[in-house]
Amino acid sequence: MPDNPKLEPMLEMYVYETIQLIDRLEQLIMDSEVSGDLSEGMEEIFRIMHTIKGNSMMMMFEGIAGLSHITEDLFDYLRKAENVEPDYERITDLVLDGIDHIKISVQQLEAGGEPLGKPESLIQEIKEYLDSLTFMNSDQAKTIQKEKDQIEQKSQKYYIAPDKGDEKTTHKEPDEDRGYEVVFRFSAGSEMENIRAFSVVHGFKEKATDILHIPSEIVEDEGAMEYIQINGFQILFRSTEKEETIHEYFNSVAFAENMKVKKLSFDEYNEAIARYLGTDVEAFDTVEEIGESVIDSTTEVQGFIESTTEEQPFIDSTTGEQPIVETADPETELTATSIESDVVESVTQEETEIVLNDMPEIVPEINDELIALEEKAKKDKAQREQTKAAADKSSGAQNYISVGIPKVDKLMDLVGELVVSESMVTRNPDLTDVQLENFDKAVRQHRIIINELQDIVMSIRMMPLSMTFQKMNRLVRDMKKKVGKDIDFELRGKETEVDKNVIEQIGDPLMHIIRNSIDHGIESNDVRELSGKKSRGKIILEAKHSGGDVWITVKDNGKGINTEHILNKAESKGLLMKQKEEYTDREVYNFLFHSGFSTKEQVTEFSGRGVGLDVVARNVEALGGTIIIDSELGKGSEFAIRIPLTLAIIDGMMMSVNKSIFVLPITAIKESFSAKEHDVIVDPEGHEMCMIRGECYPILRLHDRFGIKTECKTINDGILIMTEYDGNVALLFADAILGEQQVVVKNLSSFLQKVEGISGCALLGDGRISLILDPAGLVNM
Amino acid sequence: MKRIMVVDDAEFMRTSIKIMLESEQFDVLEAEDGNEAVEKYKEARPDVVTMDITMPGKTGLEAIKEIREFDPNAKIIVVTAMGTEFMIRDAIQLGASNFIIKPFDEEQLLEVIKKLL
Amino acid sequence: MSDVMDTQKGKYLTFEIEGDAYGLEIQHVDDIIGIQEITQVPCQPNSVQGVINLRGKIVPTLDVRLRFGKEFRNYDDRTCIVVLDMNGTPVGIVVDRVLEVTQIPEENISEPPKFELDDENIFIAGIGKYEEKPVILLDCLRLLSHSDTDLIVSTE
Repeated sequence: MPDNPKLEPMLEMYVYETIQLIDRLEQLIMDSEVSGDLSEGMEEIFRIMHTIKGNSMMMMFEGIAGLSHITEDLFDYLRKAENVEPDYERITDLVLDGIDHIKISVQQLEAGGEPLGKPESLIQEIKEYLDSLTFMNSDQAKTIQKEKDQIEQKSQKYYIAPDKGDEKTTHKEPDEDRGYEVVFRFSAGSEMENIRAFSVVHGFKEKATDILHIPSEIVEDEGAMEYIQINGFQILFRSTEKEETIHEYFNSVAFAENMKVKKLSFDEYNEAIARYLGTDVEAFDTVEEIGESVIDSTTEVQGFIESTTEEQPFIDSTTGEQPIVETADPETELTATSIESDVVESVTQEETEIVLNDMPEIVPEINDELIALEEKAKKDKAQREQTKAAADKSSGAQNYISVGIPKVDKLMDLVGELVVSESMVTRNPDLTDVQLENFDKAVRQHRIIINELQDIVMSIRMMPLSMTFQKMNRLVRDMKKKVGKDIDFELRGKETEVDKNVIEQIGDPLMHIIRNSIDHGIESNDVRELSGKKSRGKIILEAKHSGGDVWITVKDNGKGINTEHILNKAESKGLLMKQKEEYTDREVYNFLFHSGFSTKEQVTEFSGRGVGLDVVARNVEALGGTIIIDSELGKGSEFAIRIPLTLAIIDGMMMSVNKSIFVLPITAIKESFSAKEHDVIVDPEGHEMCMIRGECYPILRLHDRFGIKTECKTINDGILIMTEYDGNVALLFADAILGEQQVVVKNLSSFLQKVEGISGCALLGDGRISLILDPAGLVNM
Repeated sequence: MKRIMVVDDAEFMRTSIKIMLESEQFDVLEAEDGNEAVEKYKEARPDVVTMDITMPGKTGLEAIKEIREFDPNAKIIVVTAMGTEFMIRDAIQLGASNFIIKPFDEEQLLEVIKKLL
Repeated sequence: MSDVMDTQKGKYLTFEIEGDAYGLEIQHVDDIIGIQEITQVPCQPNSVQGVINLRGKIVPTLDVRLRFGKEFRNYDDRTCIVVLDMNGTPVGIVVDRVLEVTQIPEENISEPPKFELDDENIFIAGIGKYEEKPVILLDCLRLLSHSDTDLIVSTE
């Protein structure tokens, strides 16, 4: 929860925006690493960090704000500096670590919790890298600072216009021309008090002349801010304005406290001038003389301001610190700086060690510091690993559609109902015998429009796979580093669109398959060489539309799948139903989907214990899809996932049992036939079976199973439909087959008890309701 | 009812400020960039403008200049982050009345606005 | 909004089962339709007849007589289905005939009798009086919740 209670309603928006920005950032930074060119994305990356920083500050999320701040600084430097050779890998690593941190924080926020604490060590690392860049380019930095100074000087011209210019006041009656002193403070926390003071003075300059103030330099001098914070701000001026006007103005100063406006007597004013100018001024006799001399002194004061700016030693704009070069004592300082610069450049553990080893005569304190640094680096690295692991586990919600999901779902429901009601109109029994030409025309038009509406609404939920693919990109990058294999990863068809539901569910299965590929598929570099493989390991992730389906495939040129190993393993588990030789390759691969099946003896960090592929298969099936494996030993493997595009509509075969109509998904049907042609056998326990081409299959009487009274009880009178699921086959016995139809799947009301074997219902064209059979539930009786 | 125009390229910021202002019965108008800010100012003549001066493209500073040219009495509050002293100074010279620094809370924002009205 | 709620309070839809008048609070009633074909759904409690197609919506329907443990009566042209809202899920009940929507003030409602222990009593919220005749006011939620007494029997 944001600490700023007013901004609680902003949390959702904050989360949404931050997720979008982070995703884009990840894309940019990884692209730049690959292309070796940061220049294109730099500006955008800078802006993204700037925006995240601003938003996070408003929400008071200090961890994210601090992290994005330092990253913004880094990219600000990178985009302005020339002749900088950025270490792409290092920068990418740092940014990715930052992204992970922010991702987790955002997830926690989404779940109603708190964001992570400030990632001090990561911030420190980024800062150190930035320091190393600026140090290496201190000449560069000098030039930048010089430019900055020049700009400042130019703007000097716009600095408070000399008060001598104000014609109006000098022509007023002498008795109205009075001196005033105004003293006040700014309330705590108002920030940039010096600029505020400037704004007060600037806003007043048309109402007064000879404006002096303490401190006299307020814009360039950062010290002024502190001074004003501690001592307040004092202004001395002359004005012919009415006293009320003056009071009014100063009372309207925001954040001002202890405001005192004092009209001065002649003597008091003289005294005051002396104080403000820091010089002794002789008492004046007339007002005009005061005026003149004050004008002169102010000009001097201004001149003084200009020259100081030039002489100021340059301050490192990025770190705000004086760089080491400027510290005194050349001798010892030299050794110190060269060591420190080496350390700053190479913050990794290993390199720190090298530095230590090569320089035996290092000053003891520095040595200790380096050791301490090492320890910290180790600890923080471990912690970051954890953070990263947590980030990797999350699949998280993808991009939101700007419309709330419930609305879209409702829209889809309504369109579904519209489709159904349309056919209820056109196939209405009242119209069966009637010829209506105009009506038919209108109906046809109606249908065209409705179909188009349905297409568009379906497409609203469609989104490109690009984000999902981007995640895979990241996964591969991280993994291949860890396992030390050279792997090229190619993405094809990332603009392919799928239903939002699919996007959310497909991430995990894909990750698992790709992990398998990297871990078990692609051989290590040595092995590849030895086996004579010329090319680098390559994995292609591709998505494309084909027919009414989406195909997502993962192809690798690794070592392929060893069917022998699998068969042996299957045998040892007692899974073989026939002779090894009789198994087709496809059937062998399918063993991999059995739970608990893994030919890998070692469990690696990434691919687990072989419980993965069965879960993958289930996830794919939950989406209504199928997964197919293909492979060639020594050459590579391919995992292909097929997902039907529109899930709510299935091709079904309608069958009747007395008055009830059932619909069975066509994909589950192998064949159907009349029982007369085959033998029906009954086993001692009363189970009916049928012999088909030498195989025995169980018969499932639908009327029995569902308790439906029917006249058709003799097998020979009805029809047998061979249904398959997950390798199991059953023969469903129904009265008759009514034909094929595409139906819109609807859930049976939650009010009803769940029935095994029935997965939902569908409205038929004539308004009747049919029950949809679930092959899985039926076949596994 | 007083009208306030909020200019910022980040929707998040605009909405945050809007929330703070609407609870005080201000009528809030939004603009995404300098150009839009100038146009909308001419049309709607808000009583106060909050202007982010770290926007890309036509900067807030230019917009301040143009708005003040159009209406010398325009009341503009600059919204910015730390480290932009020179920009603020320039903005004030161009006619901005005051400034607030991110992150700010509702009190600070309202204080500055109230003092202007 | 609160006005509507207030005007609905005390209003009941009355219907007839086997000559007796029953009432349900109108706020639970979504729709009243004439009897239509009910598609059987297997393996449901005895009183659940199946589902109907209500303008494209699948609405499970139960027979109140069977729910009360009374004998099944064949549907005729005055038989109606009253569609109730069960926390967002529509459920229909088959009644012999629908009588009317009427106001029954609180003072005319008395506590249900406690001595009889047959099925019906669990569902009764009170006994109202309308035009000198008793109206058995039902508790909508209890009427629709699955109870142990409803056995899962094959549909006929």
